[in-house]
Amino acid sequence: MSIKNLHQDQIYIDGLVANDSTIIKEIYSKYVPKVVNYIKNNSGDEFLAKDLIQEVLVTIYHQGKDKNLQLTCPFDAYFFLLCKRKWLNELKRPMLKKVTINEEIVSKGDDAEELADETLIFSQKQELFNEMFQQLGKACQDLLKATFKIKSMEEVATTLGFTYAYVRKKKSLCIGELTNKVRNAPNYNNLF
Amino acid sequence: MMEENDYLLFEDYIEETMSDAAKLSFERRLKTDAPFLESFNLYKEATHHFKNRFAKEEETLAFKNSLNATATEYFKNQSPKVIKFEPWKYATAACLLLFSGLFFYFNSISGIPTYKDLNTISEINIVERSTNTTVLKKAEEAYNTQSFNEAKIYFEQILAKDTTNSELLFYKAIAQLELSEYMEAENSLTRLSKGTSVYANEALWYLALSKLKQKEYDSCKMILNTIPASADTYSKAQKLVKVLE
Repeated sequence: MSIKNLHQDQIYIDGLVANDSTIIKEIYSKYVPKVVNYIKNNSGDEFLAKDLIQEVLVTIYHQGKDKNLQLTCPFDAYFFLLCKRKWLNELKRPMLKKVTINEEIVSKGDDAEELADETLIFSQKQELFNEMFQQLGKACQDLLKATFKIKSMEEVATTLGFTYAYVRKKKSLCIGELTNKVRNAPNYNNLF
Repeated sequence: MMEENDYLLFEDYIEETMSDAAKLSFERRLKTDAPFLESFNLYKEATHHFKNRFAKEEETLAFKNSLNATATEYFKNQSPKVIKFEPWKYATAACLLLFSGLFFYFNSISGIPTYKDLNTISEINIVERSTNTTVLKKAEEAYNTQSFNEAKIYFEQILAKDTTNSELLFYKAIAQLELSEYMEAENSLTRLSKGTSVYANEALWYLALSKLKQKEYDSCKMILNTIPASADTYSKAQKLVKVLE
């Protein structure tokens, strides 16, 4: 990724990461209408489009923030592909009726495809981590929340009423348990 | 599967609390022990993910709020809204859940409970804090007097202009369920269940009740099992699953 040229539309990624309301409004006025039309033309409606678009923008925000997402293609193509793929995945869910998909207006572009794939994998990994976190016991969940929120391990130990050595060991075991659960997930090999 | 001690090594390496000698030995093992490397990479990624998630919770919330404000404004301009979704409605939703809970019971004598056993229509209050009240008031009155056909027509009138109002869509679906208009009710409930509103999980519960009313017990069970453990309706959903089994 680093050897490719950064696209000028990186301003949208940076704007999302910075929670810049002007950029967010620009994305809605310039790029959202196309997505809404696509969803409406493929068995969806504004209600579903609104939620889906917000979910996609939150994913981009996280990827930008956590992984320093670098845009090497127009934002339009990347954003539209992401929304489209997410919508197609939603349509595959069993509770929604079978529909005919209008594939004609799908944008093509190697960089956009590659970036959209990366973002979707990033999003699925996040979901998997969060899902497995919920499967940990309450003691592990509380300890991990505290250790990641409070920088000093000594302070965590004092807050939770444990020794420093116990907190340090327990934290590593809790993360270890979580990674074992992730490794046993059916989609682990597709994501990691 | 790693040894407990390996996780402690991962932690020490990431937190940079290792001695130089231990660090060298650790890095040598990373180069020669593939499962150790794979496990370390996963541990590191999980640590990075949760560090970002928990340490930056407030920033993320601020971003989501900005996004929601822009999205609401954008969709309002596409189809002007009649009322806004305000935080107090979470309280209304909570009351609805409480009423459902209070009146919820299983008919232990006759076996499978019926739709009427489980569905309790509570009064709604959607007008009080709204500015444009005429049609809303009619919808509310019709719903509260259980004139569901009338209520449905008023809800539809408002929803034609306010297409993303989850609260009205939810009540319209319940009205349609009462009228046995299953297909329309289920379409609305499915949409709600996929969304992020406070009605998402409650919609799944009513979707299951729709199947129960139609005596489609397998579908009912399948939907009940999709209700997440974190939902307020989870407990009664699981009780119903057990009764249906």
